[in-house]
Amino acid sequence: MPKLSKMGFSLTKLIAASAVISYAAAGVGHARNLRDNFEPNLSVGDWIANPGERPLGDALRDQPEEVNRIFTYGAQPPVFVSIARVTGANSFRAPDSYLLDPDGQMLNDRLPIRPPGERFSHYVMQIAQGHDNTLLVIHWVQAPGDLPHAEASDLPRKIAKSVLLHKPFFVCDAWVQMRTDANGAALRNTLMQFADSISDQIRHQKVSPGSQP
Amino acid sequence: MNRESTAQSNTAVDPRESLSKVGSVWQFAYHRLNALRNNPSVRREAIVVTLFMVAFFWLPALSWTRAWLSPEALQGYAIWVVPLTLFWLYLNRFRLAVPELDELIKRYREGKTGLRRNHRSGEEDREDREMAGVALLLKEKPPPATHYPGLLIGSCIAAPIAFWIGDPTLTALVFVAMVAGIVAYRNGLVVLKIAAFPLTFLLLLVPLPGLVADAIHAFAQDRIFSLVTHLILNSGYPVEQALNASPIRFGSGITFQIWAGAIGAGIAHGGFCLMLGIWFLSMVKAPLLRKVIVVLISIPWIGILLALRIYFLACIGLSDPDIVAYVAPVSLYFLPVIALAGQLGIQRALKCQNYQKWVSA
Repeated sequence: MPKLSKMGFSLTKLIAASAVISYAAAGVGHARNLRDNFEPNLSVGDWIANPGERPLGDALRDQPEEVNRIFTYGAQPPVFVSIARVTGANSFRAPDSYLLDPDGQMLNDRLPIRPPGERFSHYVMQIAQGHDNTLLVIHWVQAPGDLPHAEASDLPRKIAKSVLLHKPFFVCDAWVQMRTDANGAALRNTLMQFADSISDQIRHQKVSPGSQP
Repeated sequence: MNRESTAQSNTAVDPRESLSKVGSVWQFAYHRLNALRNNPSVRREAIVVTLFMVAFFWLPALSWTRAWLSPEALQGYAIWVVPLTLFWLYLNRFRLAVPELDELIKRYREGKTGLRRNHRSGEEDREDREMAGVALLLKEKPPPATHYPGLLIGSCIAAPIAFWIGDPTLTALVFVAMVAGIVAYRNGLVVLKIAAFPLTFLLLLVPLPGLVADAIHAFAQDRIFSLVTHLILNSGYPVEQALNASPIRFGSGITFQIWAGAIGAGIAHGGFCLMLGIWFLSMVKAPLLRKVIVVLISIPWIGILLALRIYFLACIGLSDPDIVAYVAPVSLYFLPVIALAGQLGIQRALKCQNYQKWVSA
């Protein structure tokens, strides 16, 4: 039985050692990603939560750990909520790329929402148009214990920490499908109610020691 | 092909017996390749290392594939990168078998081989130099390869970090670095230099970060759809284009729209054609500048072709919108054929059609 040469043996040893350490690191990283995930309350005001599906283009943001809910209340149009944990740079793609079909695009009318006295916007509300439907979306990013931020680019250090150390950091979206007979002001208020409620829950989320942002 | 058959007829000759019996550098390369193939230790090492690499990267490869094949992904072409790289290695196997040839020719030029230099010019001189190289190879033991473990060790250290983060771009970069590291460690820097093209080509399989891919896609789609809008306007149809290029809406009572995602803008197909063109050019004997010019001309050619496809789909859709749903996917399959034919034409026009000497099927 021919043996490997000395160099071949050291080469395979090096690759094998790196593979074992890499898979151990991947396992620990994945376990940390499963820890301290956010679970929203079963209701927001009168709205009741039901399980929802992953957004259409979730593969484009590498299918992160996420919670998806559909909130219903009487004859009101349902509110969809997606709270995804940041796992890499792809988690910060624009919502039109993962909420809609490949034709999805954000219309340019952005409405940043900045509470009085704050230095930064907490949320951004936008209309996203796809091939088959149009959505009114409210979008923000947030770490547990922190205030929501409309722009991920405001928090480069926290994002780097969350990606490198697998600390919890969430990309949140709430949206409603816009119909021709929709009452724009009512939809805006509903989404604001959801954004305030969910961001408040994330802000007060208890996390494991070492997972604080 | 003839070279190989000539070489095969000489398989009984031991290349180390005498230079006159070996005849050419081709036969020497053939003999060395055969010796490597028939060496059980080399075969075993190649199999073991390949299996280890497959076991190492099969899980990240799933995430790369998901990134390549997601709907309207920019990098649909990336699925062909590994097969094309392997085919390139096969076509250039004789050159890879004699990595020290360049060094030997350099030594001959500098008069360090002890052989008399023949001062003829052109191809004959090249043959002389190669023969001198073979003579040296047969007279002396080939110089030992300079093994360079730095890249391999670096990639083996980077791999756990990339796996820990779990980002497909990072794991793919580590994969390419590790392949290059294995070549540098096992075969030395000379082989790494010869294999520079396939290793660089492998970078095409690295999934682009989402923000970069989105920006490139939006730019390309905007340019293509703007061109289509101009073409349709010049054909006399009233159209309007949405803010972000897609869809194109036909006005004046004609209720027909062209959506980029619905019919496929074909950007990934265009990328495939461009990639195949670059791969082919790497084996063609021509100055680098001319090859770059061919690539630069091919980009607008493919762009125009993508726009023409959408224009014709629009013309069809104006008479019968339902047919477009059937014609659009079929036309995407014809696109690479026409694009590649055009690229071959550009290559011929710029005299990039002759293979390099060492390319052999």
